Amino acid sequence: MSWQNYVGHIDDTCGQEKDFILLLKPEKKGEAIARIRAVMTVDRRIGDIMLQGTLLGTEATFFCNGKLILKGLGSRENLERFLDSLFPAS
Amino acid sequence: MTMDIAAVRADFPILARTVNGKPLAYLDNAATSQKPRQVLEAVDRYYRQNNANVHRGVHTLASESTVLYEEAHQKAAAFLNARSWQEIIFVRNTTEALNLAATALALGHLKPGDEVLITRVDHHSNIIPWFLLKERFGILTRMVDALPDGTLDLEDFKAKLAGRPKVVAMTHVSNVTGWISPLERLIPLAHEAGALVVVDGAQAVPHFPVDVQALDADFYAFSGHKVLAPMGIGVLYGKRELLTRLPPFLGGGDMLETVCVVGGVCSLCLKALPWKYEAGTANVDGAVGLTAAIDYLAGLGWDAVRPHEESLFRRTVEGMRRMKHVRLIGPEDLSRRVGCVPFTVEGLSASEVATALDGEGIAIRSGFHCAQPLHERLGLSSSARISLAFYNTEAEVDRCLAVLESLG
Repeated sequence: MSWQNYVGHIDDTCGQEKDFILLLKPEKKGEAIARIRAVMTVDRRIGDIMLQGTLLGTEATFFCNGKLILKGLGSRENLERFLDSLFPAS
Repeated sequence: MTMDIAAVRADFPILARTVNGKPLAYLDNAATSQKPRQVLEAVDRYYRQNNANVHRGVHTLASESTVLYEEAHQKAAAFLNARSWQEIIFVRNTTEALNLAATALALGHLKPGDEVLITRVDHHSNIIPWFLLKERFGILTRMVDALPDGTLDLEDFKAKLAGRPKVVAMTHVSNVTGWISPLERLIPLAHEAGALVVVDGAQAVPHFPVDVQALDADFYAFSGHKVLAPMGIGVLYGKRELLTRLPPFLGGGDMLETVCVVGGVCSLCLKALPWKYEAGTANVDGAVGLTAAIDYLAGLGWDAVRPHEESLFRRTVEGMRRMKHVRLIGPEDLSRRVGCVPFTVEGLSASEVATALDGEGIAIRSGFHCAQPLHERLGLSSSARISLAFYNTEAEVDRCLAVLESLG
């Protein structure tokens, strides 16, 4: 299993921030959320809508509908390295 | 005049769907509009009954298709109050329309060293085509600045007209702030300075009637998909004398009367307007959809559409003004704005705001909306944008406001 088993779609935002927006695969959402919640340091919780914090040293916002925004990674290569760490191949 | 909003919404099948388990509230209308069943059915009927290539056959289907395609030009001409349907060129979208205008002007009107005045308020579609002329044709651009509220700096506009630009390219309505440019004042000033005027009307035509003769615009562009028609059909209006004089930038089938090759030399005789600008197989289904879209809007009437949209717009802005964590962008005078409400939320990026709303079934846009120069002027790298249409409801606006409130 690798991150491709958990992440269904990756979009990047326009603007200088170049955040990445990840959509988790519905069939693996539960497993992926459990992994994210296990390693995420939460700084701010906004109702039942989102959690802002840090994920393996990367600024992240996790949404209850299974979307994840990652900030400051800069490039697709960095993103993929990050996802390799978040969802290590078993 | 009032609008039966329930009946209108029943015409838009997509508005009945859910997103993330919640009823869809589609507030991203400046990006593209949803389509009424009348448009969907017209396109479906075209393919079931009339589909054939236009202008290229004597058989019945080809004739029917040609009639529908030419009727669409007439419909678009009436929609803009053009003098003639031959002043209507069909293209893919506003971007292609503005690229066509820029390239045709570069090929047939401008000389190296000539200047084109563009504005910081515009969408990239009315900036980049003009920048590209420098590389290809040696044509220069100067940019009119914006004020801190995102409106055009009119003093800078007047000052830069003194440089005697040959073309002024500007938007009718900002796709970021919804600000309505005072074209009725700006176009005469540009003409007095000796410039032709190219207008991006993409965000204007969905919200109020446009009269290109009254504006005296030399070119006017819009996309069908922002005004209920399918994606892939757009319009460039141009004054007949200009379109007649300028050369096309696409060559191919259906734009020529004759091609004669004598001694290795090719001699072309171009077709009359508008066909000389419409090389290749046309987007006939898109044109049929555009006809149906214009008919649909006409059936509702601007007198019904405008007050409803204005009411929704004011409700949205006034609701957001009460939120301390929300910063509204754009001029405070709402009387010269339509459709778009850009904003930021303290402590959240624009994409976080849009994703939070999406979780509640509410669709808005985030980013710089293809208007990076304007965002730079506003001191922002991105913004969130609510954009409204006549089929939206107060309840949808209130749902959106409730989620925004909870983000504070």
